[in-house]
Amino acid sequence: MIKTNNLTKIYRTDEVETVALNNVNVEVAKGEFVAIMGPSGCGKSTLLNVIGLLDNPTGGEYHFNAQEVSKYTERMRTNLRKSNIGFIFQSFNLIDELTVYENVELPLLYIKMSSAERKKRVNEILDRMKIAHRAKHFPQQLSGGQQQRVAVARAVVTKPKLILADEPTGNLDSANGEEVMDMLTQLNEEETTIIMVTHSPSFAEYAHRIIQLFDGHIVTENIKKEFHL
Amino acid sequence: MFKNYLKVAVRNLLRKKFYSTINILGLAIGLTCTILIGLFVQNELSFDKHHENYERIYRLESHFTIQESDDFFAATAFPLGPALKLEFPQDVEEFCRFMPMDNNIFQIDDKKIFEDNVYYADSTLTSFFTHKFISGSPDEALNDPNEMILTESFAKRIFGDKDPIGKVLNTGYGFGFTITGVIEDVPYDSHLRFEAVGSMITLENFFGKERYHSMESGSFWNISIFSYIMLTKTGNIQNVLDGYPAFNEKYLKPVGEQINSKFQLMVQPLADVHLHSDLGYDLPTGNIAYVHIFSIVALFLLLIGCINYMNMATAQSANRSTEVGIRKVVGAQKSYLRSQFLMESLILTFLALLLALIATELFLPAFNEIVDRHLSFNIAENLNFFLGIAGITLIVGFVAGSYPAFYLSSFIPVEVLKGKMGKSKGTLRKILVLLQFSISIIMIVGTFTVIQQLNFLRDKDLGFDKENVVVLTVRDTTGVKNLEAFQDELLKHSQILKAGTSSSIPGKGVGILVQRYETLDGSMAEKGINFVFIDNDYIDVMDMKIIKGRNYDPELTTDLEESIIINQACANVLGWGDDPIGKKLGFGANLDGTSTRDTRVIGVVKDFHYNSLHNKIDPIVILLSDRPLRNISLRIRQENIEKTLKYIEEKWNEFCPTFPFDYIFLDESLNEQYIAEQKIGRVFTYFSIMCIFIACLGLFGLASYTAEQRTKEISIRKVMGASVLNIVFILSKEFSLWVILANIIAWPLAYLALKKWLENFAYSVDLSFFAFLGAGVLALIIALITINFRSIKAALTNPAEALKYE
Repeated sequence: MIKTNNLTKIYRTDEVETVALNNVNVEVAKGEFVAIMGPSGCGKSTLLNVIGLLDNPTGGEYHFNAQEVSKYTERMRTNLRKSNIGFIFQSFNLIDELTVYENVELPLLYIKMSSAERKKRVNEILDRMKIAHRAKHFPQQLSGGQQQRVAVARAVVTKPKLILADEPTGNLDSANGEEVMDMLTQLNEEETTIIMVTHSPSFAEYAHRIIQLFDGHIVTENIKKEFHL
Repeated sequence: MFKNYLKVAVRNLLRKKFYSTINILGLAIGLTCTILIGLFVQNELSFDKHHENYERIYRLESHFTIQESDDFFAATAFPLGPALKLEFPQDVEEFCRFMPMDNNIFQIDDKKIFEDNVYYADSTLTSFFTHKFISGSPDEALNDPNEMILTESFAKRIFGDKDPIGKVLNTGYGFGFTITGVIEDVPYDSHLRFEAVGSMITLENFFGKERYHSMESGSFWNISIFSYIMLTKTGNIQNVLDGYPAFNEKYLKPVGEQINSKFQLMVQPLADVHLHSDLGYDLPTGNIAYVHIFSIVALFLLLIGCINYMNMATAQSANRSTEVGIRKVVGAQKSYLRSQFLMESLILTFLALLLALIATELFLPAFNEIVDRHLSFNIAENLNFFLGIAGITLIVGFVAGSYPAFYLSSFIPVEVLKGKMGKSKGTLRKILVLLQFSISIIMIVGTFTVIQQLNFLRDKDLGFDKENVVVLTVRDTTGVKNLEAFQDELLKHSQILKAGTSSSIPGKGVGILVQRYETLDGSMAEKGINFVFIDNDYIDVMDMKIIKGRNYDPELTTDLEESIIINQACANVLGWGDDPIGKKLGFGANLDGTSTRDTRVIGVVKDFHYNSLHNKIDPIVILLSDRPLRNISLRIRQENIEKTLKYIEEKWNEFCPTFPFDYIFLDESLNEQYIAEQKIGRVFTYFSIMCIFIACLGLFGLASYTAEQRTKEISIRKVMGASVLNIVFILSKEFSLWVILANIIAWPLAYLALKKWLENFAYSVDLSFFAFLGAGVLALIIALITINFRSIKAALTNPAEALKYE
């Protein structure tokens, strides 16, 4: 599903050039659950952003579903992203002015789904994420765990093929963290591909494979579980 | 999707009540002021346009060149209109003349009513101008002598609810008018407003048939009426002007040559009369310059309100960057985001418009008082104006929403979600603050200068003492006959110090006649010079200063026929310099080379301002009158004025029973010459307060926003040992600098504008550096108070709170 060849990302300011990704070659198969680990500043989030089409690489190739997308314009990336990729962030990134229901509904608005269909889909996912009773609440009225469940609901409401999670448990206590990991595992079992950045070795254990990054390079790849298509 | 935009907009508004209030309030105030001033300007520009034929109607005006001096008058000669119709039948369809009626005391049964706004007019009035008849027939209303039409409210004043048609209204002339029509009140936006019009043909009996219809050359040189012509449907006013030289040759030249004078016909389109006329003997008019000034003030207020809105909207938008990031991550295209921000902005601006419309309704009565108008705001009747305002609001909403729409939507989501963007330096905002304060400073300097000039006009030494002078104008014929006895009675009161009479009152215009004067080589020459008749006491009553020669002496009977007093300007203009005493002056040059009165100069009075300070002091000759003069000036003591007036009224009723008691205080009457300036002074004062208030609202919002943005910095500085004063200084200095810089823009612009305005006056204050400095300092102080109100709060915050939060 995902394949990168010598993927490079360099950040330049007037005086400093920072290599965030240095010839990274990654392959992720459909339905796989991959964890990316590494120290702060090693390029984990940058890799996730490039894979998530939030950012273009400086060099190398990026194949998404067998299409080379590294040179895509923003509009093309947005179109590809909105129907294929869901995001989960450490800081939840919910919109404060929208209710739980509206936050989850948001991605469906941008794919122009009908109102009835949206309603059905949002209610379904809120039920599934056990947050339906909070549908009319605003994010700041929820606990951290609840907020992240809303964020997960929003990420999966469009039924994306790929979910990218950037330290999804980073702001949660262990119980809520476990709960989120269980959700991701369940989604993965339903054949959603998941790539997760994490600092936590225990949560990384949920993945089929762990990629270790250091200074923009892949240093090791550990297969934790058997994965079959 | 629209629902989503709306929801977010409303929730944002409610969540940030403080900023939303500042934002919407500033714009609403700006829009309210713009609507109010817009209504005034629209009204000024609409004068006389309610007449269906206004585009075909022109007012005739006079340009006299007597010797080398030019005079321009709104009034014209009696036969001018008929002669033009006769000579230019292809172009001039009809004429209509208005002649002011004097002694307008109307009587029905025992009821007496005095009314100033009464004219004689030609019967063409009804077809010429659009006046809606409530009763009576327009075609027959003024056809015969002694017929009169009344306005609805005047008819009510006289006849109450009774039908006035056919009733006879007696006048002070000893004859009556039969009421043949009642029309709706003349709209306020008419340059010539009247309460009653008598048929012009009535005057045929007074003048005699021959004189009434005379088109002899002499009758073209006597101006007394307002004349209008209406062009034929195919007519062209240029044809009339082009044909004027031949017309002049035929009608005016014969007498013109004898008196060495020229008459040039001037025409003014009816719709231009109100704003573009600055002529002698005119009715009260507006001034296009003030329409321009008011429009600029409105534009300023709107600009300040809009800048405020844009500033706050863009500052606030930085807080929305995370939302933009999220929306982009979940699939929003730039176009969606642009639409969202624009939509939000438009919703807020239209909310401000709604508030502005409500505020307009509330404040319109007060504004009407300031500008002395009867404006009303009805959206249905004023649709174009309303659409204009809505259009401006739309533009403001669009421009204000464009910044977040185009700037924020271009953010890279990865970066905004990391919090890397969203804090701009705010240079644009600071430049806008600079612009806002420049405008505010211009308005403050303007206010200072207008007030200074008004004070100058009020306090300037006019060459006579205008304080404590009561002027009575005797209209009653018996009163005029017993003028001396009336004065003697008045002087018996201990509070009435002096009494004197004159043919005219300062500030109310004087007469002009061709005079013959002795040149340096001893020959006689002619020149048009102002004149006023007085009695022996007038110069003393007015406290005018004789600087050469002597005053009139009641003991010298020769003074009446052989002596004349002139002012300094007259001595200078006639070339007599320092030695005018004894020079010959023939008052009122006759066509045969003689004068009405051959006099010699016996005295020179110090120049005095007989006209307003808009004009330079003109030469004037002051003569003794052998006939009673209607205007009595009384110098009274300052104490017990009410009692004194009561006494004057008693005596008035005794000597002048026909007319109701009427008086003016000379100082107040002279101040009325500056009504337009007083109006502009009030507008400037109120609207500069509004300007600075809106600007400060914006500044307060921005200072609050900056303080919020710099919470962490402030806390760290405090931990490192900064005092409250240090923090306040840091937060204030940047904005203060911009306010100080605003002076650089404001001062030259204000200087140029005010210099131009002061050119309207022959006598004016010098532009004071202190007015400019004062405005700058005032703006800075107000700005500092505004900023520090918020900065001090920020500086007093416990740093642990902020750092914990961070």
